[in-house]
Amino acid sequence: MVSRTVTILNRTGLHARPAAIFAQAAGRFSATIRVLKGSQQADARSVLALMLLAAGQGMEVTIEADGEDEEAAVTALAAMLKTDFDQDDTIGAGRSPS
Amino acid sequence: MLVLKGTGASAGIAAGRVVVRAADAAPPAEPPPGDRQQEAARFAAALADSKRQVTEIAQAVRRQAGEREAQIFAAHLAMLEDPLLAGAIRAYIEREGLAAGQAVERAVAELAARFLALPDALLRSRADDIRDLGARLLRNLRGRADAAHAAGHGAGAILCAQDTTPSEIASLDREQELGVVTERGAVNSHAAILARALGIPLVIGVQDACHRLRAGEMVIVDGASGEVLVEPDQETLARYAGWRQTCTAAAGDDSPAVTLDGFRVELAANIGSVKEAAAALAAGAEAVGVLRTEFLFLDRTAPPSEEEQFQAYAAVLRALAPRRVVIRTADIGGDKEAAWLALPSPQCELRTPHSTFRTGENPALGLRGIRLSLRLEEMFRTQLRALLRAAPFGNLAILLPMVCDVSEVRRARELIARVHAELQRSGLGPIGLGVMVETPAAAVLAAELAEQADFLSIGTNDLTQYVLAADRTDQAVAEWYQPLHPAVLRLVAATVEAANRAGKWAAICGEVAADPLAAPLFVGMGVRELSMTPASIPAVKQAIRRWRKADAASLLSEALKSKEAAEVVELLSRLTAD
Repeated sequence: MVSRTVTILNRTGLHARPAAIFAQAAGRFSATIRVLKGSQQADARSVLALMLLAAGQGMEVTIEADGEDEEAAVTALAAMLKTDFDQDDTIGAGRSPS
Repeated sequence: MLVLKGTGASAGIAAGRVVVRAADAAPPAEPPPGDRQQEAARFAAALADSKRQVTEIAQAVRRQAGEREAQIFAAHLAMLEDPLLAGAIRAYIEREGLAAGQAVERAVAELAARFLALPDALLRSRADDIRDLGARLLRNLRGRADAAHAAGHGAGAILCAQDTTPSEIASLDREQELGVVTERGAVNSHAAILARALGIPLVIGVQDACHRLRAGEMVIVDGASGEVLVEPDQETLARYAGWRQTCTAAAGDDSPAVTLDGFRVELAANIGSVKEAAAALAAGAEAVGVLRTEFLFLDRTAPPSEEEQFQAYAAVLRALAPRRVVIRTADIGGDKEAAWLALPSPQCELRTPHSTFRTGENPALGLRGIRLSLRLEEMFRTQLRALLRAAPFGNLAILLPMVCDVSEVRRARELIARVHAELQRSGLGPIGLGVMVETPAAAVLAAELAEQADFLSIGTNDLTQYVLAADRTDQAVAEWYQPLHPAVLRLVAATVEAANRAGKWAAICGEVAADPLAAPLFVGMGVRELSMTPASIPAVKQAIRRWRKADAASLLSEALKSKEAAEVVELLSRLTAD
C-alpha cells in the first residue's frame, strides 16, 4: 500500500466539479483508492463521498492506494490536488490581478 | 398593489399568471413489494430510465446554455451511480428486504441529511441535487412519466413552488413558463445557476409564496431586485415592459462583454453588504469590483471585531468563488462618519490623544480612507487580519481608498506583510493590492502608483468632485459635478494609459461606469473592468457589444478634445440618435 499526504491547493477544494473530475481520474486505476481527512475516509471513486469530506483549499488529505498500480495512482492524484485542476481560466473567473 | 420580497437569483423580468405547484401530493401507491430479486430488478429499471432522462437533459442544456451548465447533469449521472446512492439503495433492498421505493426514500433522506450537516453552504445545497435525483427515481419506479410532472402550466405562466430543482428548471418550456418564484432555495444552487444560464427570471426565498400567491393572479417577477409585484396596475406593467426590453437580451447571460473586434471588458459589481453578493451573481457579474466595507463600521457604537469582519468577508468570498472579490478597506470619515469614532473607545484612545476625528467644515478633504486607517493602525490591522484570514475562502484582492501617493501604498504593504507573518499561514498565495484613483494627485501620479500596486481602480465619483471642486452632496453645486467633463475624462484616460503601460489592470468603479452612453469611451481607453451596481450590468453589456475597439478609440480622442462637458454629452447622444 502507498500513501501520501497533500495540501489541497485547488481554489474550491473538492466540491462538486473538482470531486467529479477527481473521481473520474481515480476510476482509471485498478488499485483500491481512499482519501482520508482526519477521521473521515472516502472511496476515491465516489463523488458523493469525496464531497462529504468537505475538503477545502488549504486542508490536508491523505491518499491511500492498494493494488498493482498504487504508486502511479497516488502520484497522479496527489499531483492533481496540488494544482488548480478545475480552473475555467478566463478573465473574470480567473485569478488576476494578484 | 402587493409586493412580495424575496432574493433575486436570476435577473430578468417576467409578467404572467401564477401557477402554484403544491408540494408533491400523496405519492401514488406503489405496487405491493415483490421479493428481493423483483425489487432489485425494478430499481435497476428505474435507474436505467433515470440515467437516460438525465443524459437527455444534459444534451438539451449543452445546446441551450453551454458545456459548463451541462456538466451539472454529468455530475448528476455520476451521483446516480455512486456507491453512496445506488449502492445504498441496493443494499437496503437486498439486505433489509425493503421495497424499491422505500429504499430510495430512505437512502435519499439519509444522504441529504449528511450534506445538510456540512458547514459549507455550497456543499449543503448539494442536498437539493440528491433530492432531485431521488424524486426522479421515485417517479420512474411509480410509473409517472417525467412529462406529466412538468407539463401543463399553460402559456404565460409564472411557476410558484416551495422549491425548484435543476432538472425542473432545465425542463421548463420557455415559450410557456416565463419565470419562477420559490419559498426556499439558494443563489448558488445548481437550479439558480441554470436559471441564469437559460435566462429564466428566478426569485427565491419568498416567504409563504405558495399561499400568498393565488393561481391565476397576474404578477411581475423581477429577478434582479427579488420583487414579485401582485396584480400590478397598467402603468407599472408598461414600465416593466420597457425595462424588460433592455434586459432580456443580456439578462441571465453570463457570457462576457466583448466588442465586435474581440476586446473584452470585465463587468463587475459594486456591492455594499453580504446580502448584495446574491444580486451580483443574479445579474451575471464576473467579479466584484468593490465591496465597500463601511457597512461593518457605520451605524454602531463600537468598531467591529476581527471575528465579525472575518465572518462577513469569508461569506462574500465564498458566495462568489471563484470570481474575484475586491474588498476595499474602510472608507470612513468624509461624508461617511462613524459614530464610534467620536466616542472614547479603547482603540481610539490607544492611538490618538484626541477624542474626535471629525474634520469640521470640509470632511471630504479631511481625515478619511487610507489616511484614517494609517492613523488608527490598530483598527487597520484588525481589518487586514480579518481579510487575510478570509482569503482562502475565495479569490480576494484588497483595495486602498483615498490614496495620494506611493508612501501610503508602501505603508499599507508593510502592514499587510507584517499581519501575514503574524498569521503564519503557509500556502496563502499573494493577494492583489490595488489603489483607488480618486484624488487628482493619484491620477497625476498614476504611473508611479501603477508600479507599486497590482491594479488601479478609478473612483470617478470622488475624482469628479475633487477635480471640479464640487461637493457631490451639495445640491447648490450639482451643475458643476460632471463626470463626463473633459478635465475628468483626460485624467481618467491618462490613468488607464499609465496602468496599461505598466502591465497592470485599470478598472472604473464610479457611477459613470454604469452609464451605457459612456461605455465606448472606456472601451476606447482600454479599461479592463467596469464595476457598477448589479442592475446596470445587462445594459452596459449590450452597449459594449455594439462597438469596435478601434471606433471607440477614435470616439474617445474626439471626446478628449472637447472643451466642456456639454460637448462630450452631445457627441455621445448624437451617436445613439443615429
